[in-house]
Formats: sequence, structure tokens, C-alpha cells
Amino acid sequence: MSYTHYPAYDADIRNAIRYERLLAVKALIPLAMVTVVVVAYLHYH
Amino acid sequence: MNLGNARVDVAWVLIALVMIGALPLVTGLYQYVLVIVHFARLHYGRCEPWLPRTAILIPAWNEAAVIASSIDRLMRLDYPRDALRIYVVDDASTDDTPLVVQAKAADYPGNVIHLRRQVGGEGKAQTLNHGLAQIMNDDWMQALLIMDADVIYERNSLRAMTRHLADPKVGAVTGYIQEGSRPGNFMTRFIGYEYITAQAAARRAQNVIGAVACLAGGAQLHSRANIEAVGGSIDTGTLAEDTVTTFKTQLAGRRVLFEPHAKVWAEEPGSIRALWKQRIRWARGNVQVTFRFRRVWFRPRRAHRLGSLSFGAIWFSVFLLPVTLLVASAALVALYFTDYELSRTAFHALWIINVIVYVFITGYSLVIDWPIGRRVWRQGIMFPGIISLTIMVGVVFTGLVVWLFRHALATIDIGFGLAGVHAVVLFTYAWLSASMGAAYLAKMVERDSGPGKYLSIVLLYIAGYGSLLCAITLTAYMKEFRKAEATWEKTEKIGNVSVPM
Repeated sequence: MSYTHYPAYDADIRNAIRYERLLAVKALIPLAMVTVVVVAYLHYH
Repeated sequence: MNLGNARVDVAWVLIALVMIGALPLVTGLYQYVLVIVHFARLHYGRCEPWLPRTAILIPAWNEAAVIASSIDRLMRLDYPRDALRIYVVDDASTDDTPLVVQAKAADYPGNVIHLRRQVGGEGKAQTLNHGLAQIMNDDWMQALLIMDADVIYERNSLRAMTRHLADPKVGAVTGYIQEGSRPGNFMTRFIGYEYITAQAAARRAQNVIGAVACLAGGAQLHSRANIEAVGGSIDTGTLAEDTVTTFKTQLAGRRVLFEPHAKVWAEEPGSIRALWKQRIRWARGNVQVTFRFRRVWFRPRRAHRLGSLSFGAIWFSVFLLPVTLLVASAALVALYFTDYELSRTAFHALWIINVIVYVFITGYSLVIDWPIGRRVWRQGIMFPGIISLTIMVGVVFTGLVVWLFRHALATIDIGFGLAGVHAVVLFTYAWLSASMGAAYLAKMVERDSGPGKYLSIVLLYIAGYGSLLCAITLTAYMKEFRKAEATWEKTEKIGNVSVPM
């Protein structure tokens, strides 16, 4: 198996890893939304 | 026998049945929790910049409207052209497909090969096998990409997939199919949102588990070793040849990966009836796969993760979703007549879980793929349908909604007695099941134009796209169990995919 090190390879990998890490951080957004709903439920129910 | 105790026991059994309706919700939430930790289970550490000689296999039946642009886009991939061969297997097309492909073969000599089946219509798997036999004849091919004729690849997508095949433990890689119809309509936008949940999210979760349910038919890359290991051909015994190949790959001890950054764009059905036809085929295929691999479920093995509890729970939460909804709402109605107060508690518990899962999944789905999400966010919010959304609002803001309801009725001077209240309660209890009936009605009344067209859209928004998918699955069960004739009907494509460069 011979590899062809094309110029964008490292950048592609780096960007993909960064995107996946950012996705974990972005989970805070729906988590905040759920918190708002639960607070509203406790307040208005 | 103590009738009082028996009544209490029945009530608790009914509550347990109601909560069965929460199982798919909890499993759905579990998948999204797995998405959060996807970054910790990436395969990039074992990737290499490998650009193998890749045979691209495209089954085509009457694809004249789309095949030329697909081939042109493949030839513009960021990939060495001498490492690409495109085999278009023309399944006895009756339109201009042969002429279009032959013209492309002349434009790209040595890169495009036109294969023709004289007798067609047997199915996609047979068509693929016709091309596969030709490809496996010599040892040129190192990797095989199977795709659909309408699918458009982004320039870096193929190399984003091939890098994983540098790891010999990986047998196949699938890309991220996105809905690409432009300008599109309500249906393609619902599908666009569905694909964020079913692909971008669910397949990331499957990466974390280590078992992938299905290689997308429009973007599946196999190593040569894997094709040989699964028998050198595509299974023709089911309507879900992609899923069978996926399972066989993993059962043979090779990994299947989802590469979310290999983006491809596909044209999806633009009407309820077209979606129904396509998804009945998929759902019947899943029924066949579930029974065919019955010895795999919930039996953990070292060689693969298909038998893990996580994967089984995810598979069956989708497969049995309509059944769980029917059971939950039937139990709620039965509980209403057995113990009204308990029925209210059970209903409340079920729907508050529903609200939390809905808010988290919808919010996260939209940020997982915001470029698509900003286009389909309305359909994401409307996914459960207007009535289910109203119930959710009522569950969260019960006091407020009751107050508003009373004042509204008093203002317009309409009496709404106890009987009316109980009718509303029973309706909401039955809605989990009834929504599937409303979705089925949307399909039945749909017409290409006139009142039927608009009525079907209104009904779909009332019932919800999720209920439509459940109704399709339920119909597929029935067709499969009464052994209805299974035909491979192609989804009509008109070539309206637009891809950002």
C-alpha cells in the first residue's frame, strides 16, 4: 500500500477533528434549551 | 380473589405499557449523548493519505436527466483521474441513458465505461452484480465506490473516505448523504432535517458504539478485500441489499465507519406518495434484515459490535417504534377507564419525557449541521406535528394553558362541560396512534394539484412527519407479514440537485 501525501491531507484531518470537538461544545445549546423548558415547567405547571 | 388488588395490579401493568412508549424516546436521547463523545472515538489516528485505484459503480435505469452531471462532477473530484474508473450499469433503460453515458465515455476515455443489461427491472442488487462481475475480473480495482446515479459528490468527499481504508481493519466507509433538491419543497425540507437526525447524528452515535446499521446506498466505499470477504457480490435476497452488505462486512470482522465530512448530495422524493413508495421498500427491507440476522441481536461477540445491547436497543427502538406508540396509547385509554387519576399521571410522565427529548434532539440536530439546519429549522420544529406540539405546550404550561382556555371560552361564551373535557383528554391519549392514521390520510388525499395537494400538506403538518414515517413502517410490517409482492420501484429523479462548491 503506497501513500500519496497530498497537500490538503493534514489540514483535512485537522479541520475534521476540530469540527467534532466543537460539536461536543455545541451540545451546551440544546442543554440550555432543555433547562429553560424544565424551569418553565416547574414555574407554570 | 380480592378485586381491589387485581384492579391495582392491572393499573400498574397499564402504566408499564404506557412507559413502553418512552423507550424509543430515551434511546433517541442516548444516541445524541453518544454524538457528544464522538470526538473521543475518531478513527483519524489510523488514517493515511491513501488514494487507491477506485472503481465507481453506478446502477442506472432511465437516469438521462441526472447521470451526465453526476459523471462530470466525479471527474472533477480532488482525486487522481488515472485512479478512477466509472462503471455505469445501464439496466435496460428506455430513455436516453445509453446515449448520454456513451457520450461521457467518449469525453473521458478510459474513465467511463458503459455496461448494458439487455433485460432489466430485476432490482438494484442484480444490476450492481452485473458491474461487479466485470470489475472483479482483473486486479485493477483496490477500492469500490457504490453510488446512485443522482448523487453529487463534493470535491474532497472520495479522498475523505479512502483515507480510512488505509487501516486494513476497516472494510467499508459510508459518507454523509444530504438532501440537495433546490428550490425544494416542504417534503424535501422534512427529509433534509430527517437526514441530519438519521445520518449526521445517528451514524456518529453508531461510530461510537462500533457498529453501523447501514452503508448509505448513494455513498459506500469498500476495500477490495472486503468485497471478496462478503462473497464478491451483492446480496439479492432482500429489499435492503445495502444493510445486508453492512452486516456481512461487520460479521466478517471488519469495521464499518461513517465519515461525516465526506458530503454527498442527493435528490429525494418531493411528495408524500413518492416518499411512501421509497420508504415502504426500505422498511420492508429492514423487516427482512431483522429476521435474517435474528441470531445476531443482543448476543455480544468479540469480533463485532452488532450484538451489543446499545446497537440492539437503537435498532429495535426504530424498528418497533409504531408498535410502542400503539401500545402506549392503547394502555393510556385503558387506564382512563380503569383509574383516571393514574392515567393523568402516566400521560404527564410520558409527554414530559417527550418534551425534553424533543427539545434536546431538535436543538442539537440544528447545530450539528447548521448550513442545512438554517434551511430546514421550521420542518425540524414541526417534525412531531401541530397537535403533538400543542400537547407538549399543554404539558409544560398546564396551568397557563388551562387559564387561557377557560378565559377564551368565557369570552366567546361557549360552554365546555365535563363531557367536553373528557373528550379532549381521550383524544390526547389516543393521539400517539391516531397521528399515524392522520398521516396515512395525508397520503391518501394527496394529488398533484388542486385541493387534494393543499389538504395533504395541512394534514401532514397536523399529524407530523414523524408519524408519517411510523405509518409507513406499520404498513411495511403488514405487507411483509402477508407476503405482499415485493417490487423494486425506482424513485423518479429530475436532476434538481444543487451543490455548494
